[in-house]
Amino acid sequence: MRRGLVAGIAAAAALALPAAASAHAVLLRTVPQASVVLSNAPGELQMTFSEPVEPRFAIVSVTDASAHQQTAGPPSRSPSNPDTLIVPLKHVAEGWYLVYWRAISVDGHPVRGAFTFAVGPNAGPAPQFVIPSISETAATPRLLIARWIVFLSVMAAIGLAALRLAIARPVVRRVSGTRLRAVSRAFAAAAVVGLVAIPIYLLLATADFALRSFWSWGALIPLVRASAFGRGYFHLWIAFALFVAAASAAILVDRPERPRRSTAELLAGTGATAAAAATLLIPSLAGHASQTSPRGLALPFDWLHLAAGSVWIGGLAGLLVLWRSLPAAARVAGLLVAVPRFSNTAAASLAVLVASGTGAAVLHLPTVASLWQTSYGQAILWKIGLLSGAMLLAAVNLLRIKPRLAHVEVGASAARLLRATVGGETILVAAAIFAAAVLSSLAPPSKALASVGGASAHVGPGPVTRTVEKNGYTFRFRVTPNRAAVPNEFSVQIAKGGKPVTGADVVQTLEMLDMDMQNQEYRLTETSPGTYTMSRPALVMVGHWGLSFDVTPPGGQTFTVLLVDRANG
Amino acid sequence: MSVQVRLLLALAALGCGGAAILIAVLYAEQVL
Repeated sequence: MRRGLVAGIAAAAALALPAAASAHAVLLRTVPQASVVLSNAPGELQMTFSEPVEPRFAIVSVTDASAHQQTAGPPSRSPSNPDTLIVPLKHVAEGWYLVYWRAISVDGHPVRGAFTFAVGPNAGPAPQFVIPSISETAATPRLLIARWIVFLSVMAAIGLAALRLAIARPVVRRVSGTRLRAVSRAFAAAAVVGLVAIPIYLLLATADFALRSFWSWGALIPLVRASAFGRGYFHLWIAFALFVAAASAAILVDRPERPRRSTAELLAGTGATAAAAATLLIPSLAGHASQTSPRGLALPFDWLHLAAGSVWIGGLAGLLVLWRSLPAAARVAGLLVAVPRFSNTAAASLAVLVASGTGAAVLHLPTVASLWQTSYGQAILWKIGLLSGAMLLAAVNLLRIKPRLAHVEVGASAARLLRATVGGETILVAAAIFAAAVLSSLAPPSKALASVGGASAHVGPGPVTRTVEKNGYTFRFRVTPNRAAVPNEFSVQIAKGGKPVTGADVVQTLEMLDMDMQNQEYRLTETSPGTYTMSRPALVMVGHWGLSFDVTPPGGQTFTVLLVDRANG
Repeated sequence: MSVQVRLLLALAALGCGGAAILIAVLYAEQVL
């Protein structure tokens, strides 16, 4: 129900808010242009992106019909334009070439794409290309697990510090013979894991992006310093180290047996809170949030989401530690102090988590359907599902177990049940953080998906024959064989009142919907009365394509018919 | 732990918090 509710809210808000700007590098121009037939062999390939992508992280493959590599060297940055990558080419012969590229956006996420060009004058028909395998290196299991450990340890350390310094603090005073040393140790453990995991993840990711070994530190460290991705995580590391120092000092200074905090305790607590706030701001600044418009909303949503998630996961882990560490005789009494205080904080965190998560989803997703149609949306659904499960357990804690803890006769059994539900909740929240690690390493869906809502038909995979009526005209579309990277014949037969419409101007635009990529535009030629065709290897990739036909009938107004096509390999 | 040591620790924590905020602000200036 929550999923439906969230989708419903997202749908309502999506209507009210403009679609988000893309957060990733977009290929704006290429020389040679996509699908062009050149009269002379080009000496180099130029690709201009929407941001200065790192040439050392970019992979560009230029292959001929027999899959022979035609690049003569690695990509480099153009001296005249930092957004342009230049790839030297061998002296290429007449024929068709496939350019397949993968670059790493400034925020560390991969973008990829492909296009073809031909060298003439007798390039001949476009061949069936073999798509080279360029892996999506930002989402390998190794990197995802490392990213997850970074997220989990940083969030848990912040939440454990909050539990130790604020939420569970009165336990010591109200229940004699109790201490919070175990919670402090858990904080120290999470802090150490985070301090080690951040640089390891940074080096692993840089090694993967640059296709180098993890152990070639001599080459990797300059890359970390040069790349925006590296700088982001380096800042996170420093800020987290400062937080660990501040929180450790605050824990050392804290005397939980006194009800009123001393000046030193207040000062140290303020320092730790400020450092935690700063640490949580850096992932928001380095990630999608800082590049999604409107930033004034995206950044606070992301920050609140991280802060609420940290308090929740750290608090849950801390409660488990507290459960184990409290002496058996004082366990129920101790939990009776800590659990209601945590439940109240967790309920507030949850409200913030759901609200900020929904807000961020609305900003990042162009359509409601992209929730289930794209990997990014699916990761959000997983996250919502896992968090809904955790919330269910949280509700059981709040409504059933918390009141029973107070009863002497059932208190002990309630405490055991609490351990099980809190344990389950911790596992579910940790899994949701894994979904977040996946989510933040995927590119949000292309904004082109927003146009899919206006499609006249969804077609493919496989050969397409589809009749569509629009503006009193009948269109009979054919796409054969509707396969990626081979010449496809696109034809449209236009009729009005059963008679073929001759002399119309038909321009077809192909737009890749699964990722941002250069659009291709072709004018169809009338091959028989009322039938307009072209044959090109224009569906350069497997996936969803928007095929829009701008039709201008003789003496009439131009209008557009949009098909959403799925092309297979 | 003497009062002086406690105050020193508290000031160190406050300094760390301030430094972390400064780092976040400088980083925000770089990326925004």
